[in-house]
Amino acid sequence: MNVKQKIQHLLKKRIILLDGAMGTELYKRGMPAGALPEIWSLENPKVLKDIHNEYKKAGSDIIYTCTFGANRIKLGNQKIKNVAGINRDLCLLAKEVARKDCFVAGDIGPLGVFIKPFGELGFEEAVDIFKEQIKAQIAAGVDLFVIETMIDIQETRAALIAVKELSDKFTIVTMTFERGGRTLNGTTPQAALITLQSLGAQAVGANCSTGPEDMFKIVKSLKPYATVPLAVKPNAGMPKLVSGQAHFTMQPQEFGVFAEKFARLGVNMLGGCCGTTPEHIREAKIKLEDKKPIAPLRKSISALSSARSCVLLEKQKEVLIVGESINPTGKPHFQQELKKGKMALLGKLANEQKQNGANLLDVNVGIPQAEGEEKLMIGAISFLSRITDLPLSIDSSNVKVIEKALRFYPGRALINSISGESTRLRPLLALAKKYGAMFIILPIAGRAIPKTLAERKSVIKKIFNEAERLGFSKEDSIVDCLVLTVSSNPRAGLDVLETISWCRKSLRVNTIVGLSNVSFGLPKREIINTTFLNMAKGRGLLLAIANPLQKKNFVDARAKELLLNRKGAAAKFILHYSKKADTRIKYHPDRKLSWQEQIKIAVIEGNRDGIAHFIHRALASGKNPLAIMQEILIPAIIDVGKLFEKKEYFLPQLIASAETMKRGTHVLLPYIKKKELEEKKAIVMLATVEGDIHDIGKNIVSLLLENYGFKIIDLGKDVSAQKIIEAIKIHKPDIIGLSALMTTTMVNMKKVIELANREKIKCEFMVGGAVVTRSFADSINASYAKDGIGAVRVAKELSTR
Amino acid sequence: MQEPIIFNQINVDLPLGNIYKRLGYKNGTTILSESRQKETEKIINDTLPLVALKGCALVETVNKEREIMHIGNFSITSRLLSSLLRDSNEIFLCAATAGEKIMKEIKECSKTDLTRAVILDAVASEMTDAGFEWIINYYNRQLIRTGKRLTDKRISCGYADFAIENQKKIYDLLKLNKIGIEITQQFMLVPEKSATAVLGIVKL
Repeated sequence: MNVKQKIQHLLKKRIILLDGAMGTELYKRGMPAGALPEIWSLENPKVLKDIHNEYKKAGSDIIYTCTFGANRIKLGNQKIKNVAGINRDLCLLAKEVARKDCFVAGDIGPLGVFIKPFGELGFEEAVDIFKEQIKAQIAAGVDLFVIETMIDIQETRAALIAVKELSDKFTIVTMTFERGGRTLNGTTPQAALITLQSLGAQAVGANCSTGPEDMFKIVKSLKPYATVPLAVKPNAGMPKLVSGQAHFTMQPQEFGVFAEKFARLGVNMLGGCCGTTPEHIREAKIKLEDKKPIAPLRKSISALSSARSCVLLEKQKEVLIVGESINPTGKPHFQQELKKGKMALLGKLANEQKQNGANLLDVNVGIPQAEGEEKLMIGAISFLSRITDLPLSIDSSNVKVIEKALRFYPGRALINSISGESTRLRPLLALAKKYGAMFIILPIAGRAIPKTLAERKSVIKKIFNEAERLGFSKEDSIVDCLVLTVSSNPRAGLDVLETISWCRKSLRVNTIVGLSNVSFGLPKREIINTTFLNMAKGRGLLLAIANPLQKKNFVDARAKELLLNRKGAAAKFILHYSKKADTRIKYHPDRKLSWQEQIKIAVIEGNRDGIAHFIHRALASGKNPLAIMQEILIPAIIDVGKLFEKKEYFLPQLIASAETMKRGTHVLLPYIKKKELEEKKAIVMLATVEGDIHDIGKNIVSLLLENYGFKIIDLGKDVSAQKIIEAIKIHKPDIIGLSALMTTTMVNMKKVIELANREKIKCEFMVGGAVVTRSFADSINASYAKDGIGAVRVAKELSTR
Repeated sequence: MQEPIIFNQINVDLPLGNIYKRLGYKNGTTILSESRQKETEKIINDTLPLVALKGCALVETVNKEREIMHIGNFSITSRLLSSLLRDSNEIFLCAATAGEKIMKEIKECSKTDLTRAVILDAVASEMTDAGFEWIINYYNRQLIRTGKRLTDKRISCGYADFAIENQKKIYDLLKLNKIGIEITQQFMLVPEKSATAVLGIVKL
């Protein structure tokens, strides 16, 4: 029996006890703050050996080497180069203590920098850095590996891939979750579990960060989905500051009680992190003595993950939708964007699909006659990992592209798809195995599409058998039921429905369909698609590659007949829906309200699109434009201002109303005599002062003042005192409004006013901005405007002086 | 001199509560119609792909000489900074930015749809703040294992006697050009929603 088998055997018999904290023990025993534990313990080997030995005596079945930060980057920061030697020596010290009494786990911690797509370090570079550490630990004879305290799933993957490419040793992977239940990088425990267990970790779990109480919730959420043993190493509670020093306050007895609770939850490996001591481990040992381990509840799981979340592919109330829009075929604009490396449209497509209810996103970036699909795919994955938490389906006809994508994708991906040709079947199954991906079985072998249901079943069986032979379970695959168009093959719908039933009943495997193919060439495709989706759902369909908007619950009787290949159904469907003219929704304003109320409500509710219609109607019925402005619009915006001041409205409501008013005014202006307007208007000149590039506040003030009948001259942002003075001389404003966001630029307001005084310009100044205060305004002899509405009030006062 | 650590992609939860708060929303007082709330949240969600939250950070040894702090080849004179670093021998410099795309969109919207621009502005500001919190959390998580932590207080250039001119020194130390930030002659960071902060590192 090799070590891996011994550990697996032990896991069946009892809960394996890990060791406790290393760092806090080293500090207790004299290591100064800021020292590198790896170097200090090599300089003080007796201290290190004592700690290892105390954990062994306390009952640890596995002790961790003190190599947590012994990687090229962390050591390199201290100008230390001998990575291999340091790892080797630290592992040998642990081995010397362990003898044959316990196992030694080569400890691998984070690199201290982030890797792509989250940081700068290349993924392969990270794998290589981990490999350097791992090789030295293998050479020193470690029994297993532990990758711990990880917060970045991509870095964790890099470390695990590095281990797996160098060794077959048992590997524990534990990540660090915040109190909110996710890693700092936002990965949920379940997503981490799905990704890491499928990638080949033999045990997955959590360490550090929180005390046992919070970790308890994490483990509870993991057990139902774990196919591997669960490992935990909580801190001895959360650190508390006592007289300026941090202390972990949980006592060994209390820790022992939690150990017992963890055992009841199904934890299979338990130790302690920061603040725990050999006493804590001893106490846990006592409490775990007679506890029977709870084996993983599943052997396999149908689930996909992204860097942040996961989706279980199990029977759901609704068919899960794989968004199909990220595909440049037939979309020249999208093709151009991708070729230029622009991601805006990709982001828009992903976001829209998510907002409309997609559960996964299919990603196809293959552009006909274009090279560089690998690069495009990595770029797309990198971008999508940032903007969406939906898992991805990697869709490419190129095996190499799929390989690159699976290696880089920071989760458990779905391969779309594996067909029966030997050039794709074996290499893709091997890739799925290595990277733990799920895959779609496409029932095609060779160029021809199976003509009969029997042929289709035969190909599915062939792929399925090959996958089983390689150790895949039914949960790892999904069968594509191969939707063809009913307009060219009337049996197409029926064949798919029967394939779904057969897969569910005979193979007990999940199914997927590419929905929109079914309706190609027919009118009212969305009706056919939605009807077909609902019929397929009735047969047990789990997933559909489709437009998420088709997730509606209706079955159209004519479409149903068509899809079931009923006699004459196609003709009836086409005749019925081709005749039907498009009906457009017509705008019916609420007739119960008077025209005055409609205009006023439009302003108050910020109905920017409706206001012009209401005003045009009022004008058409002979209403006086100036009266509309003075008696309806202005009182309405005054009401909005009051609502804002009472905080019953927040800023977007105020601005939407102001913009509505502006649009209304725009409609009215051509009908109002110029003379009537000029008489009313005081001139306000606005500028953000020199050095300041923030102008949104000034823009808000401008809009509001305009609504209140002021004429605005906006000089823009970063305007020098000299330029402002020159503009004053030209435009002769009644009021000058100056804005600044920063304390450092606020002083330039003073410069403007001083220069104006020197130039003997008589004019009212008002100032405002995030950092401007009334006392500052007073100190420079300016009026203070607290916000946009405040500016209106001040401007009104100043203009009547 | 240490090399700054670059965070090319910081993932934070959307700070929806803070965004609403920044926009003046007051719980229990502000009355928001369903349609206005939907519109606001649609704008917020549409904004997210435009926010490319990046950051960088650097830990450096600091040599103190009264109110003059020597950091690598740079010296900064400030009573405020000196007080912040009272118990520290190391200084922690960091920066966060919401990126250029969101600012471009705000600029465009300011001309045509100020409501949207105002919401985007709040999203960008709050996301940048959340980026800072993330970086600080990340470093505290690393430092705890070495028996240290970041100071609770953080300061930025332009506060009290910590002169804005220091922004250039921090810009150079953090190599902010690497995350797409530029600095103007008046020491303003561009894109607009970019900021730097300074903290001390103290024993736990």
